[in-house]
Amino acid sequence: MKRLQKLGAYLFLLLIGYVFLFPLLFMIMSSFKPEQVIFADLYSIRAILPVGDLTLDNYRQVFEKSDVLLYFRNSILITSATVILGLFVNSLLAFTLSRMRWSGRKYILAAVVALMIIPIEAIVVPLLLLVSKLPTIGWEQGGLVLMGSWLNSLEVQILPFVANSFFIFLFYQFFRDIPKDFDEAAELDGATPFQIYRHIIVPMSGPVFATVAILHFLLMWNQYIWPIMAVQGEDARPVMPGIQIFFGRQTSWGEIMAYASFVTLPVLAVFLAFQKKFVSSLAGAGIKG
Amino acid sequence: MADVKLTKVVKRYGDVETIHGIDLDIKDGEFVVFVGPSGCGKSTLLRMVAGLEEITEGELHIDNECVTSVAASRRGVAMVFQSYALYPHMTVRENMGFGLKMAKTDKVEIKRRVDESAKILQLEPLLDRKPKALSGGQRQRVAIGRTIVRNPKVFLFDEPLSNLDAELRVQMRVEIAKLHSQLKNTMIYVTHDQVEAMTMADKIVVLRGGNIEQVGSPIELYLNPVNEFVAGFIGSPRMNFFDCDVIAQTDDSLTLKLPCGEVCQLAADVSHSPGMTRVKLGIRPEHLKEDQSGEIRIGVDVDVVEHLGGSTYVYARYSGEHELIIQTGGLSPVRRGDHCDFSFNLDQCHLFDCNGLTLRAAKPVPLHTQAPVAQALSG
Ligand SMILES: Nc1ncnc2c1ncn2[C@@H]1O[C@H](COP(=O)(O)OP(=O)(O)O)[C@@H](O)[C@H]1O
Ligand SMILES: [Mg+2]
Repeated sequence: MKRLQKLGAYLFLLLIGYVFLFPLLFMIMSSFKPEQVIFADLYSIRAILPVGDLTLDNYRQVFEKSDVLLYFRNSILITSATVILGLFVNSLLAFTLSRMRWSGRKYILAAVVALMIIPIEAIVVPLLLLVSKLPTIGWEQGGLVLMGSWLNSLEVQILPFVANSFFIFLFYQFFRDIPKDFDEAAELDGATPFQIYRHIIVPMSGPVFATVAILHFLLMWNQYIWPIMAVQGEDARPVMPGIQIFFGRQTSWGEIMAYASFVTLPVLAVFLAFQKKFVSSLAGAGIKG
Repeated sequence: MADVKLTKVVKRYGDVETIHGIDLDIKDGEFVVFVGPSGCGKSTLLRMVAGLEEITEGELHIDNECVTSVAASRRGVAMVFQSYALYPHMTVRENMGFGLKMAKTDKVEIKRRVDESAKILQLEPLLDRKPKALSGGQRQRVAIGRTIVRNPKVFLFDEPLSNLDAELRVQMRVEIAKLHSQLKNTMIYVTHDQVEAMTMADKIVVLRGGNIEQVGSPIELYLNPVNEFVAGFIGSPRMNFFDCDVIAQTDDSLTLKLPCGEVCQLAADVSHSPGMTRVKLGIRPEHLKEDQSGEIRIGVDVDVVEHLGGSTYVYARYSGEHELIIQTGGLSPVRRGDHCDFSFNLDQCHLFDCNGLTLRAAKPVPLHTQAPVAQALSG
């Protein structure tokens, strides 16, 4: 009876796993197949199996047609800069919100919560107008000059996304549950608020930092709408908008799959590397649903 | 080494006043215990001394220096928290050295001072462990060790033993007392447990509702409580109280009718409170005798008998509804459901007026029969 139950459970899990894995497998397998084979395999299990004459042609095409390595570099720069700055900025605001007394604190907290429900799509247009008017500081002919606008740069993809109300809230919730006694003990030990943050709160908050880092990484790596609007040229283009190149008069699904597989690799790598930590930190950070 | 002086200290949270103008002098090297029921403001008062709560009004002097608005870390105080507040990600050594590190003390010096304090508290074998690998008692010791390292003028303790089991609590109580006699610093200790207060304090401060009820040595409070509250709070088991009608009153005596109907006359200087109709009579459980040698006899119905070995607590009802606790010898023959007679001497009664103020304290028991007092103190 026990065994039968177990078997049933495994079958069920297998089914679920299949549902989730199917698109991923399909994408990866198709990236190694010529166009006709993809469509020929489409209605059989072969769609997700590495069968038939596999080829690297699609990948060759991807590297030829697009500057994918440049996009990759841009995405890595954008994502890592945003995540690192974000961990610092968001946790610091959450720290002051959860552990220090100052007037207006309640209103800022309310604003943070309220901002969580505003999707990026709702603010991209005003944001675009704003950044198009913001000058960058450049170096020309031996002096500092104000130049052009923020458009077509890396920073236009970084700075608007550093502060994030959802992440502030995650930090806030986590910090709020750390007993105040630690702060007070440290205060008596002569620590300044920043030292309390740095030496007491941050080291005790590993799980929430891990959670936010991963979520922020995903958010940034998968940026699509904003770079399409704010970046026209190739120089500052990240990976996701790069896929547009392959949708043209003759769309090659094999190449699209190859491109998609290639840019998904880092996400998979991060996920697999941190899988255990991520799951436990989701539980630890009290995220539900 | 330092005196601590509070002058008209008031604490308000918004409009709510929780500490109502406290005046208190703590002498250098004294072990002072703040005691009182939960919510009476003990922690608030201690935290104001520590600098963790702002002092709304009034002044605080430590070592003859006004520190009312000086930052906590500059007051020369160190505090042991009820939760210990040991930093979980640091080893015991790092925990103990954190304050010195914040003060940018030289590494060698930090090590020397941590080792020195660890020795006092026998923490040496634990120095490289993290707090979660320590037992409750060990954590408690580390929390104390952390304060010693900083060599403060004043040690503050906020209910430090309440997370320990009974046995460890007694053990740590003794250790803290020893530590005090060794270091000779001023120490302020907060507890709601009157036994801790009685056993550890040089001076007890009894608080109620944000006011000081009485300040004095344990024996002073035991013998001469200023009011019904202190009388009931100090001493274990609790003092018994009976309402009595006043039948006659002269300047130096009262004639009372006890609940059982018996009439008796007590000497008391009541010249300042003429025309009383009711008073409260207080008698400590240890002053009720099982034999009939006392002047007043009362018959009681026994509800519960607790045999503690060395002594016996009898919980009984007296003339119907008055609850009563009696402490007798270890081998008392009294059983549940018994109806029996106890007696007491009028000398050993406290008298309180209708506002709870003491009219007369019990006469101290002569030295050779003071055993019950010592017993009461050891809880
Ligand atoms: N931050 C606060 N805001 C409002 N009231 C408080 C605050 N902290 C404590 N109090 C009130 O002050 C009183 C004394 O509290 P406390 O000093 O913690 O009592 P104790 O330690 O004696 O149990 C309590 O009635 C409590 O409700
Ligand atoms: Mg308290």
